[in-house]
Amino acid sequence: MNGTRRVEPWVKRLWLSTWPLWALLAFASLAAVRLLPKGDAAASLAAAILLIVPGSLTLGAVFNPRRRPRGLVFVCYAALLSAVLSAFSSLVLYACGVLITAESTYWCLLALLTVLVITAEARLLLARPTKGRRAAHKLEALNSYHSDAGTDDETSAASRNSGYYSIVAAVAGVSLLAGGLYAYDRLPHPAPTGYTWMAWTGPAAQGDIAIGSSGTELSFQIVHHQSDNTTFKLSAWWLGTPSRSLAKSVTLSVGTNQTYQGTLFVPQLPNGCTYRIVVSLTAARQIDPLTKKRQVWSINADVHDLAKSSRTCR
Amino acid sequence: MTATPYQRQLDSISDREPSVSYSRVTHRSRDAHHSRPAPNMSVYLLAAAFVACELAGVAAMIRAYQIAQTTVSSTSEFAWFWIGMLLVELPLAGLIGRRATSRNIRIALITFYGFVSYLPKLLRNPASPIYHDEYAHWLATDEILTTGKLFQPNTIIPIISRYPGLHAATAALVHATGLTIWSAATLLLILFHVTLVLGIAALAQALGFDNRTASLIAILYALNSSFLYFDTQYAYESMAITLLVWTLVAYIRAIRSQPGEGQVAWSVLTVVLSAAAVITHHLSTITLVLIMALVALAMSLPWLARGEGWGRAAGLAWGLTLSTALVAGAWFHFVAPTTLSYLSPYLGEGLSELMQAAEGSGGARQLFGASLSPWWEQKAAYAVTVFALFLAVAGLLVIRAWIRDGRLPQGCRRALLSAFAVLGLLYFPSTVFILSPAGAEGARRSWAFTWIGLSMLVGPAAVWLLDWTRRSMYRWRRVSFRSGLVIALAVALVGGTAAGLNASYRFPGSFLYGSDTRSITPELLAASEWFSARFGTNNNIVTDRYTGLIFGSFGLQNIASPSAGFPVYNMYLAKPGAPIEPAFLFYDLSSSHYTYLIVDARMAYDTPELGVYFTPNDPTSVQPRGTKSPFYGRLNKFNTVQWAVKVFQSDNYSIYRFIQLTMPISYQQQPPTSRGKPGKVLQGKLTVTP
Repeated sequence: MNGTRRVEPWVKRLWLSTWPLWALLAFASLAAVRLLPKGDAAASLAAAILLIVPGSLTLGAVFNPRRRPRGLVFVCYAALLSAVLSAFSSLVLYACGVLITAESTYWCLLALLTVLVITAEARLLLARPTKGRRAAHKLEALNSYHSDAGTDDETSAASRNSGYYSIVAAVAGVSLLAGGLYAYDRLPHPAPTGYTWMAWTGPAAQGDIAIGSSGTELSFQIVHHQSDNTTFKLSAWWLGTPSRSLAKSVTLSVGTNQTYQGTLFVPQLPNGCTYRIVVSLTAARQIDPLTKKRQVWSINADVHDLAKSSRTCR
Repeated sequence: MTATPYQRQLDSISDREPSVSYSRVTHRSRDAHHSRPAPNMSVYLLAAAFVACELAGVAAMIRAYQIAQTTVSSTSEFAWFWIGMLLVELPLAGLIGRRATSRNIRIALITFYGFVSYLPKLLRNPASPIYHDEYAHWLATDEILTTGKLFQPNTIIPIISRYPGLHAATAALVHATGLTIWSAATLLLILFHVTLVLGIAALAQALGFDNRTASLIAILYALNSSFLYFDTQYAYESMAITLLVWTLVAYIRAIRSQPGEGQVAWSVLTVVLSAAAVITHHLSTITLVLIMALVALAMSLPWLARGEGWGRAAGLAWGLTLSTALVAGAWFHFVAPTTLSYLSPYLGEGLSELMQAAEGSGGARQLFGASLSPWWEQKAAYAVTVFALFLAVAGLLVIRAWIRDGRLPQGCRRALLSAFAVLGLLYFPSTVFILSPAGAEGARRSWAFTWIGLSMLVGPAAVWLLDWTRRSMYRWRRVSFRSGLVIALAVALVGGTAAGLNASYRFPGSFLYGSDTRSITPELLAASEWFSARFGTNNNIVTDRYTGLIFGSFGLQNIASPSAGFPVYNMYLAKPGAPIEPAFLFYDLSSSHYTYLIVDARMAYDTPELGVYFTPNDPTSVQPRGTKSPFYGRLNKFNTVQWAVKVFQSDNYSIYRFIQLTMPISYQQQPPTSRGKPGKVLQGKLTVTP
């Protein structure tokens, strides 16, 4: 105990007179934190540094140590100012034409904080009219949020108690949020609704699809994200009045979460006309809830033979 | 004036309350520090009961969300939710209002409330954005992270690109921590929410209220319609409201400090925080300037503020107001020149609609018209205004009594309190705007600001009522009156929240067409993913509001903003075979490089819960007619039009690619026939493999 008593004032004095430097060091260590294995611990540490240090140093630079807000007011201002400084640093980078990246933000904030540390340290040096334990104690005790009784031991104790209570409250609050979220996550939730889709694959055409002299294969995909097996009829059409079949229909039974790759061979076209082809997928039993008819999916495309002049189209 | 007597003076304002005067608190803490007497058993029981209530409250809220998710149509989720909220809040308010509670415990309780009151929003969407504005802000942050630049265009809400405060702060946190955008956003939102609650208490203390009244004021502020859901969403106002409150704290501290006693520092803090508000949110900035001007005006009125050094304080107040106004004006002029044109229709149209309704030439908005809320929530929403009016009048009477008995003499405090009272009273005329379709949104958003003043007015009245029941009643009467106050608090909590966001924003549930929050399905997400993988990002797309939210945010596509000058909804509205009007639309689409059209088949069958298919400014022809969609029978035409081909279809979504919009080449209506075999249609081959 005696040893602790001997060390305590010394540590306290050192802390009170050099805390901006330690805070800057903590911020600088963000570079090292980034090297840690990614995870909740590293993220929490980095977040705590980023959301407390810049604001604390701002308060240290702006306020005379005797007038500086303390306790929860200090924490709230420090956190808000930290967020604000992050935003301002992005603005500075943008104005300077520097890309906003993790590195540039870090160096910009570090430069800004260095200026703030110099100011804060200067304030600490200038605001030291007396020496020794009493002076150090005054710095600790003056607290605009808990300053009602001045700078005596009782206030300091009240301030400390308030800090402890608030820390307990914050821990309880965070635990409740985390616990609530965990419990909610573990409860049974309704299964996400399934779906089926079909789409063209292969190179994306800008306009009509060119059909070569030996015909062309057009590929497409069918994705079935449903919890049950479904039977479909796949067919292809020449769209028109009337529409006519382009290929023999295929019946397929698609299982849960299955993907099918399909191809449609379009033969050489007889002339330079543009034709519209349609590939459609019709569910054997599934009823469209909107139309109350059998559910149909379709995709279409315009095709023509590039080698033939549109003048041959009559 | 040093900090010590200043604070004592503040404490003296509200009470002759013996139990929480500072001296007794410090005495107790000294006792606690030195002798640490064993706490009474009743304290342990009280603490245990409190913890049990909080845990039960959280459990009930979780149950409410689970019911909402799994039940198709039920109002029991509302009941469970409010049981939970009341279990959380009422014991907390009771402990805070209790005279014997120490200031340290009160501060801890307020801190705890800040955290626990974030739970409803946290449970609503813990993993990704779901509110309309959240998608836009998520996109803005993603743009900073991917491009490394601010002010990137935002197609969901264009104006937010000019206010990068929140996005830049989130991006910095993502950079530093490696968290996802949503995790970093949630962390910041919890921080802003907790500091908002503490900021209201700090502001009340800065205005001269004692710890008990200030803590109750924070609880009362939390009854406003934006607190639980709107100001907890990932949007710029959630950050800006907190900045506004803490700017006001610094501003009041600056005004009340003496030169050489932190005045310059508080002034610098005011300027820095107000500048942060300026780069974060337009409406909060304008409101901040107006509140600061109101305070400065009150400080300039001799019959309110005359006292030692009042001229200097008024000068400082005007100086800080002017500096904030100048920074805001410079930002509006140089960086965000579209701000005023963005905001003005809300007020202008709101006023004109109200005038028309008053003259009988226009219809007023039907309150809770399409609301999913149960009847008792809706009734409670009306009751809030009545309770607030009653307590505001009581608050004014309390202030009058303080002035009469000399506890609130001419001076800074009287001026400040008067300014905040006026701010609070503005809530009542603003409620009229809720009847106007254009003004309703603005009115609701203003309440987060006016309730700052209202809670300062209502708080002392609530404390006075609590003390009055204690002093002048028999026990049974006291219990009855206090029960009445608890019931009023419960009703105000329910009604305040019900007056804000719609139930579909508050609770999860099955698919609800046209509801922003419950329109997002795995099918839509899959369609957007497929689209980005196939065609890349930054494609110009025409689609409806709800599909556009996902394609515009996660899909990183550019969504058309329909308007009278760019009426893309006419493409959907045109009858099959009829030309798309106006004639210049296709030219505009083509010259602006719009290449895809996405159609949700449900547009033709369902009416949206929010009442709009594209934007709130849709013309009448595009609005639902009762339960009938204006697009019924109009959407299948896209399968046969000359100017588009269908490249994707899922259960509900079809994606079309525009081809030759201005000069479409007609496809043949007769199928090709085999050469030399007239009448025999050309045959191809279909193959499919798993």
